[in-house]
Amino acid sequence: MNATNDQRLRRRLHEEFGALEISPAPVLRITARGQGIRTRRRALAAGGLALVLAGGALSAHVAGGQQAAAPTVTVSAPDPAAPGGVFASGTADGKRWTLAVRNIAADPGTRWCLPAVMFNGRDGDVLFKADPNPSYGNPAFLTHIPGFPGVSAVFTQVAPDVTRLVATFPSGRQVSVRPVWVSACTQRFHLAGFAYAGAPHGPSELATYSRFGVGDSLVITAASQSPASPARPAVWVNLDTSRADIAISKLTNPIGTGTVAGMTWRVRTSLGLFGQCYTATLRGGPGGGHGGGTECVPVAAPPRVVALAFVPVTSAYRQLPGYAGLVNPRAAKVVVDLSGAPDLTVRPINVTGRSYVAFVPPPDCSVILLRLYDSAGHLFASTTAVPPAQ
Amino acid sequence: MDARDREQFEEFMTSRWPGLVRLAFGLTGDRWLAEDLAQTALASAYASWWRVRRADDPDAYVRRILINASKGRFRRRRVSERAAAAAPEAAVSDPTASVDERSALLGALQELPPRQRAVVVLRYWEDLTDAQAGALLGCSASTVRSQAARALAKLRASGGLGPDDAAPRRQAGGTR
Repeated sequence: MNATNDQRLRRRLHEEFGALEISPAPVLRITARGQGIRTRRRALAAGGLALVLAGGALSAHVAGGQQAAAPTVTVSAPDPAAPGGVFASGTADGKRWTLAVRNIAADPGTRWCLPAVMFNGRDGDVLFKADPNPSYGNPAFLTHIPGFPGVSAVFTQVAPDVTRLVATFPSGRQVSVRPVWVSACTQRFHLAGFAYAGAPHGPSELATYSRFGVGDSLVITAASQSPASPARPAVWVNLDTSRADIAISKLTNPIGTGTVAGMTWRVRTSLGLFGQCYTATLRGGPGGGHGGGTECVPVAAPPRVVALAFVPVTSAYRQLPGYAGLVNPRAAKVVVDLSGAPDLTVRPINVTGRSYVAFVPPPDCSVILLRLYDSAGHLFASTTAVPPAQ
Repeated sequence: MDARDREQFEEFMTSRWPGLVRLAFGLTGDRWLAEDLAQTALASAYASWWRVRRADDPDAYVRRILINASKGRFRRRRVSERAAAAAPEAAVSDPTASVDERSALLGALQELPPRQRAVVVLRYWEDLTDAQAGALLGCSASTVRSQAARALAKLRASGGLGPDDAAPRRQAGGTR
């Protein structure tokens, strides 16, 4: 390294920082904050946390005390050797829950890989690699989990040196969990999470600890957990929607276009920030007007056949029934049988390893059957499971 | 904490406060955030004072807390900076052209990735060895060296180091 540059930089920094006028140390403020930290730690050590040792596993009973029928949720001590990318698990009223990282791109063996944190293998949140050194990542919350009434979940990435994530609830109760390293998609993620009772009232603070003591804490308001609108069932809410890394998930990709009743429709999808969203636009028709609609659904792994969402395509003149969703990555062609109209042939669109289809049947037609053909032209699956038009 | 411990801590706090604020200023480029980080680090030290005062190097302990506390703030700060569509126009010309070079250095520092910035501050401001800086940042001494080399190259390329010593210094009121 150039010694002259070293010296110049050293001199410039001393000029720069040395010239900074420093106000006196705020002694009272610092000691008050320090006493607050000590008080919290004492509560932690005294078992003010609802941490219970049961059967060798560290379990946390975090039932919301004010709800009559709050479920009993336990959090097991994480097992770093757990298979399947599991980094948190436990039970809720006796039913097992897990938080695990899974590749939601496509079938194993393909070149695509898209890691997501899934609750019980469903209801995912796309995992974006965090800054190499955050003390915590961007916490995400899941409320209104199908099959788990009154249960919510939270997870976050944490810095490599974080040894504990401590969540404090408004009632003063705390949950402390150890983070676990999970490898997925040639990346390693340091993750901590847990489920809790008392939805929608989640933790009011998340704090990270390393062997050097408290790392950082994050105060969470109720509004920040549902920033724009009430949380959709099974859709994770990211705490900080402005984050640059997840902003990429706002990008939308076209997955279908066509013409129906003299109007041109187009459907795009985005993945990550608000779940899996499908946005339809409609142009043309009488008066040259335009319209559209959006539907967001939980993030899911590729289905065996199809997983369609109903996307209303509304203009000033009429509403058309739109459909969009995931299809088995093997499908090279999807044929849609309609009542009262010729079949539609739809080519799946690959977006980051996930196959999507979108179509808008003519007015007054309903979908009867979907048939999936592979690249050799062989029919390999069919279904009549189509969401009802709303 | 008894009266003697409190007295010890207050002495430690008042003597380290300026250095911690400057360190945090180097990491963040923000004077007020720097003071907040220094407060956070010292408050944590207060809460664990029995451990800090027994540590081999209490200063390293507190620096480590401060660096940890600053990590989660880098990203939020960067995002908030991006929120502004354009820099506000200055209503009047800056009468203190002599601070241009200082600002250039600060600006260039803020353009560095957080770890490189931390390496620069620890190595060139705190005068820590590569091993000491690595221990604080959770990386090896060789990583510190390579990060420092990259950072220095970027600072030089962006003009953050200012003119060469042999070159004439910019005069106040010069063309901006």
